[in-house]
Amino acid sequence: MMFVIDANVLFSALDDMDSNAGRLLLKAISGDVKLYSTEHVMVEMLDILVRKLDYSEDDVDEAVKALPVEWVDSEVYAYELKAAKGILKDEYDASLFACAALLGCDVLTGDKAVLAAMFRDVKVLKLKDAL
Amino acid sequence: MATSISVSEETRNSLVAMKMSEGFSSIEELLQRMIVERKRNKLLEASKKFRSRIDGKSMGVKDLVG
Repeated sequence: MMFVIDANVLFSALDDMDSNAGRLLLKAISGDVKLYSTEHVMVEMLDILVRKLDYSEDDVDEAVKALPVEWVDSEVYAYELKAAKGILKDEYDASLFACAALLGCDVLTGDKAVLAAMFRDVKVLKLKDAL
Repeated sequence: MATSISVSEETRNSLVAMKMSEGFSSIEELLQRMIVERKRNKLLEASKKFRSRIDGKSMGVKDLVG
């Protein structure tokens, strides 16, 4: 199974490793699922960690390296992003769909706006539906 | 595709002993398990730090992404 995951899933996992999100990340470490996310998500996450939780550059580096996520460079999904932005106004949300459309997998999120959105044949799942 | 790595004799002996005592069928399987455990520990450390920061700020995840 392969998923593109949103920042809220990653933060939920870090907040509680016994949660569904935490269990998903542990499954990824064991190789049972493959997790991808976008450069847009990474930039957003890093900004939040630094601005809201006072993470240093080293702290951020450690956190990102610890996450079992393959980060997809924005250049890779740039073409799909252009199309997705025509449907989803928010570029961050659009990046999730663009990346998932490109990789042929589903999006995992807890965000209501993302759950309600549609792009190509990408499915958007809540964590509990994916596990 | 299999390949080889170079380690000291002492390390090799430790790996073989560990493989036998812990019931792994091969060094490969033992090393794979050690890699998974190392990644798991790094993730748990990252989670601990995150919890410490978010608690220190009296915030929740919703405050971060909302």
